[in-house]
Amino acid sequence: MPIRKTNLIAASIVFLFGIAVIVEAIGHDMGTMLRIGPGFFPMALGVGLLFIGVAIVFDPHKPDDDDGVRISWRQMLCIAVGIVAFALLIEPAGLVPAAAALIGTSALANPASKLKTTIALAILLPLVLGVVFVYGLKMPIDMGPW
Amino acid sequence: MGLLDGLWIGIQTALSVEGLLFCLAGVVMGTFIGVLPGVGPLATIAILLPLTFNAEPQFALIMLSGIYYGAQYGGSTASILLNLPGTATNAVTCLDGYPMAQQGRAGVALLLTKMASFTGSLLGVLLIGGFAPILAAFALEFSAADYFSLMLLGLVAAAMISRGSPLMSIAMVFIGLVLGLVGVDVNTAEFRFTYGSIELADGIHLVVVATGMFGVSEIISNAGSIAEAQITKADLKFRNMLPTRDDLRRMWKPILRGTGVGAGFGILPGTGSTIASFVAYALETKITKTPERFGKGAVEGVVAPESANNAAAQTAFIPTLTLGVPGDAVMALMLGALMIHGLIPGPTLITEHPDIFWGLVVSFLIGNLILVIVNVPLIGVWVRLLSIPYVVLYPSILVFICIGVYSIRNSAFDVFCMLAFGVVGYLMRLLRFQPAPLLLGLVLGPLMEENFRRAMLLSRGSLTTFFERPISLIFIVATIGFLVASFVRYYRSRSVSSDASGSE
Repeated sequence: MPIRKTNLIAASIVFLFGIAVIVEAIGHDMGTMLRIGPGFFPMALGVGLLFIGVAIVFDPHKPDDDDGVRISWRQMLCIAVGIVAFALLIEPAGLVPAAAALIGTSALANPASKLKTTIALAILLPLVLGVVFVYGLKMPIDMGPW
Repeated sequence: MGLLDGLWIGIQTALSVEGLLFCLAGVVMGTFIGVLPGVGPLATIAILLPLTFNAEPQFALIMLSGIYYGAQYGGSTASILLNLPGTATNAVTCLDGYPMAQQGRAGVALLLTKMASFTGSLLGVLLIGGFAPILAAFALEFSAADYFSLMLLGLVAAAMISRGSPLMSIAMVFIGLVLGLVGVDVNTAEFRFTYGSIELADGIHLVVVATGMFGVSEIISNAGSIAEAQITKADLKFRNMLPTRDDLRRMWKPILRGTGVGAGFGILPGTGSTIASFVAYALETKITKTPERFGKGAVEGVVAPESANNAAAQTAFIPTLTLGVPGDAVMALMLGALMIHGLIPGPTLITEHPDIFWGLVVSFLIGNLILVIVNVPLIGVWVRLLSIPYVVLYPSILVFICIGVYSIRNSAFDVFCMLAFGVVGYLMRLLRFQPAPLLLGLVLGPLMEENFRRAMLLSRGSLTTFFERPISLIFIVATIGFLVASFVRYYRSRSVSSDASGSE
C-alpha cells in the first residue's frame, strides 16, 4: 500500500508533539504507582502520542481520497493579521480602533468584499459594540484614544 | 428532597425576572445563530461564556443552554430554504426539507419541523427531570476508579463517533488531554508545560481553545466563499404553513421514533445530536413501506431527524449534570461553565444546588415554549436573516470572538493564543483531524488525572482496581468494545471497496 503524503504530515505532527510532551514530562517527578507524580500522566500521554503517530502513517484511505493540502494563504493571512492588529491595539488605543482594524483587514480575505460596505461596517459596528461593552457591560477598556 | 420540592425551586429560579430574561436571550440568540449557516452553537457559546462570568451561575447556564437547544430549532430553516444546514445537526433535514420547499411546501416543512423539535424537546426534558435524579443517586456510589473508566469511555466514544479516521480522533483526544495539563499541578504546585510564561500558569482557558479551534479556524476555511445564497421563494403566510391531514397522519409515529432515538443517543456518553439525527433518518428509510418517497420531500424524513436532534440536545444534559462527564463538545463547554463558576459537576450537584439543576429543567420547558412562539409566527424575520452576505457576517463574528476572548481576563495574550489555536486548527482541519475530541480531552484531562491518582492511592498502587470494581469493569469493557468495533468497521470500509461511503 502506498503511503500518502498527508498521512506522513499528520503522523509527524503527532509524533513530534509526543516528543515535546515527553521532554516536558522528564523534567517532573514520575512518583510511584501508589503516589503518582506530576510527570506520570504527561509521560503516559507522550508515549501514547508516539505510538499513535507511527500508526497514522499506515492509516488506510480510500483510493479516491484526494491527497493534497491546499492552504488558502490569503484567507489565513488576512484574518491572522486582523487578529494580531486587534490584540496589539486593544490596550494602547481602545476598542473602537482595534475592532475597526480587525474588520478592515479580515474583510480583505474575501475577494467579493466591497470597499464601501467594509468601511461602513468598520465604522458602525465598533461604535455600537463600544457603547454596549464599555458603557453597557462596563468592560474595563477604553472606547478609543480620545 | 422530592420531585415536587425540586420543581418548586426550579419554578422559582426559572420564572424569576432574571431567569426569564436570560432564557429569552439564550433561545433567541440560539435561533439566530442556528438560522445562519456557518455559525454553530459551539462557537457562540464559547464567545458568550466570558460575558456570563458576572452573572449568577444558574442564570448563566440557563442562557448558554438556551443557545444550544435554540440552535436546533433555527437550524432546520436554512436546511429547508437553502439546502444548506444551519448547523451540523440539521444536515439530514436538507434531504427531504429542500425538495418540500421546491414543491412549494416550505411553509409546511418549517411548521412541521418546529412541531417535531418541540415534541422531541419536551419528551427529552421530561426524561431529564425523571431520570437524572435517579442516575445521580446511583452515581454517588462511584469511586475514583469508576470515574476514570467512565471518562475513558466518554472520550473513546466521542472520538470513535466523530467523522473520519478513528486514529486521528484519538490523537486529538490525547493532544486535548495534554493541553488540559498546562499550568499548576494541583497536587504538587509544580508548573507543567508553562515554559516560563506567567500567563500559562493558570492553564489554557477553555474558551481560548474553543473559539480558536471552532470559530477562527472555521472562518479561515470559509472566508473566501463568494457564492451568494439562493433562497427558495416561499410565501410564509400562516395559511400556507398548515399541514394536510395526510401529513399529520404520517408524521406522529416518526416524531416519536425520532425522539426515542435522540433521547438514547443524548444520554450515551460521546454521542450527540448530529449522530442522532442521521440514525433517526436512516431508521425511517428502513421502516417505511414506500422508501422511494424519501429524498423527494417525504414528511417523515423531515420530522424524524428534527425531533431526534432536539431530544438528544436535551438528554445530553443528563450525563453532564449527573456524572460530570460531557457527551460532546458543547456539553464540555457547559461543564467548563459550571467549573468556572466554582461548581463541582457530579452526582452531588442536584442535591447541593437544586436551584441550578431544577432551574435548568424548568427553563428548558419555558425556553421551548418561547422557541415555538419565536420560530413559528416570526419565521419571516429569520428567513430575511438568511440574506445577510458572509462578507459582512464573518468580520463581525471575528470582532465578537476577539472581544469575548479578551474579556476573559483582559489579556491580549489570550487573543494571540486564540489566533494560534485558530491557525493550527485550520491546518489540522486540512489534514482531516476533527477538533471536537480535542475539546473533550481538554476538559476531562485534569479530572482524569485527578481520579487516576486517587484511584491509585486507594488501591495501594494496583492497576487491577480498574478491572476488579464491577462498575469500572463495565465501562472498560464497553470502551474496548467501542474501539474494536469502530476500527474493524473503518478498516473494512476502506480496504474492501472504494465506493463504501458508510464510514463517515
